[in-house]
Amino acid sequence: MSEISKEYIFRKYYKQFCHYAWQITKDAILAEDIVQDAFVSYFDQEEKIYDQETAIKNFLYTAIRFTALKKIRNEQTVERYWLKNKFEEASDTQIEVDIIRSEVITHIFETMKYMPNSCKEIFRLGYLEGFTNLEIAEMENISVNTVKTQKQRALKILKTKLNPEFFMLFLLLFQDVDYF
Amino acid sequence: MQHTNQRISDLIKKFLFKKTTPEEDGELMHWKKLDRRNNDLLESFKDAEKISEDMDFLKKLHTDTAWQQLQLRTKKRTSKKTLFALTAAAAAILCFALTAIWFYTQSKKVDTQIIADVTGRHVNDIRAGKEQALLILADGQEIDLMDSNATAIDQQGSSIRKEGNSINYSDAQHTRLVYNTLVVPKAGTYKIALSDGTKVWVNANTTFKFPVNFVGNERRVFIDGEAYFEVAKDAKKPFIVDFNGKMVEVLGTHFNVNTYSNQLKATLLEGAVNLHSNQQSVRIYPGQMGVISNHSIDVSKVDTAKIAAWKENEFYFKSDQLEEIMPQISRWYDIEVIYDKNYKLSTKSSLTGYVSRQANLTEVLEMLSFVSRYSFRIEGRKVYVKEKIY
Repeated sequence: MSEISKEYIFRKYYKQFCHYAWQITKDAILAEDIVQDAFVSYFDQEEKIYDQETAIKNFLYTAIRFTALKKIRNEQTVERYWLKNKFEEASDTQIEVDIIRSEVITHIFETMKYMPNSCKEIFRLGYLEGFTNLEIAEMENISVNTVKTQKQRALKILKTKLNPEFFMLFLLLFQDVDYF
Repeated sequence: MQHTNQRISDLIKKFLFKKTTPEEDGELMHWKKLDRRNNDLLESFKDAEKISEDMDFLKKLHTDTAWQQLQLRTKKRTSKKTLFALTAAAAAILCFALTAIWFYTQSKKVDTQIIADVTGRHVNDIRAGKEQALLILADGQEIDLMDSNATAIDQQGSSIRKEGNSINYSDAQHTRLVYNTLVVPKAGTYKIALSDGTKVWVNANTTFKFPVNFVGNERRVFIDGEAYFEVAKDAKKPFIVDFNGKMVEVLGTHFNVNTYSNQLKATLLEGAVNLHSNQQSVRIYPGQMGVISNHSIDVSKVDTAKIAAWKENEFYFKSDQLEEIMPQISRWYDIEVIYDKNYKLSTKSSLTGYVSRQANLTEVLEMLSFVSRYSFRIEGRKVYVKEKIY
């Protein structure tokens, strides 16, 4: 496999892999380390892995899960024998659910990042990068009120796009922005 | 399975953004009812506080930086490899061939190891391996180390005494090299301390030949099988592990050596070691494994905990194929593995997990069967493997 497609895999999945490791370990720094290690072992064993995106992704998910569990295990008491859920063929519902969650969450994140044009920059600065309304206003050379208006617009657009059942969550996310 | 995963996550993404068709909604609702955890997952997307934490986490990730870090890590290793190749030619001159003398001793099959099965799923069970070994002295005397009071006097007048699990030599006044050979059968393991203080854990089905006293300017031992070394430091006398002229040379460090597959695989846990084949030499560092085959030395990064797990009395499998796992089980339980004629090699199912090596065979097989697509049947000392019928 060429360097480009390795980079492609990395860039495409990095965030969701980290999220997945983080779901298991609850440790942000550790999560990134685990993903790095997983990629190193993928590069090392490249020839053994079927050269197809899903296969590579599966390999990486398994590697991440395994290392993450191992790290947790090291910190906890070592079992006398083994625990059922530590000996697996990656078919367990919980594993699937964790993976799905990481994929969906990353998708939501990416979607918010690529918001409609006019609000995009403001939204990015405000939510994704954590600047306050005032800071954004200064950076963009617009008034604080304009910042607020743009955020409202972003909200409206999202409202038409989102499933009402889950809309509250996005609303809350947006309100968070105002508290920065 | 992955297909379903992908399908479901795509459906959820669409659902959250109101893009699903009624059929797709139905499909998702059906999936939701399959398992409580599926339902919980969907509900979790309503939990704004939780999502907020997720977003905070994702926000702090920097893919570019991470990619650069990864590049640095892999580049470092590649340039090391190039360096190895360059020094190899020069270092090859230092290499010299050695004729090794090997003692092959057929391990005796002891069927008292077959016991009743407690799980009730097999006709019989087989006990885990244990500490056992045979020591062959230079004059051919054999000492069974299972015997707790084993003592002997060799021709040179050293008295050999077994203490606990190690062998002690006293009054060893050898001025020339006198070799003893430790033969560890299948289903056995043994720990031995050498005269320089080096500790050696010897795995099943292994022959280990060592001098009673290290005379001369090196400490050379011979291995066929697997052993873990904690070499006592002695900068003046390099410690050399020799397998048919393939060599691991160290000054003082911890490493594992495995020659089961007729290559010499050395895995380093601490310090640094040099590997020598007939043609080249390579230095490896902690976390690396060097495989010396006849014509080349390949270095790769490995999980050292996995390599040395046997010493901690554990089986540790990590994305391993069944064909990689069964030989380990075969050596430790002294069984023969027979694959069903319909068994497909390297079907893509990699198994991962820990199992204590203290467990009886049925316990290990039950667990393997539970997590894989294979079923096992024990008959005498034979284990039959076939794919499960669904």
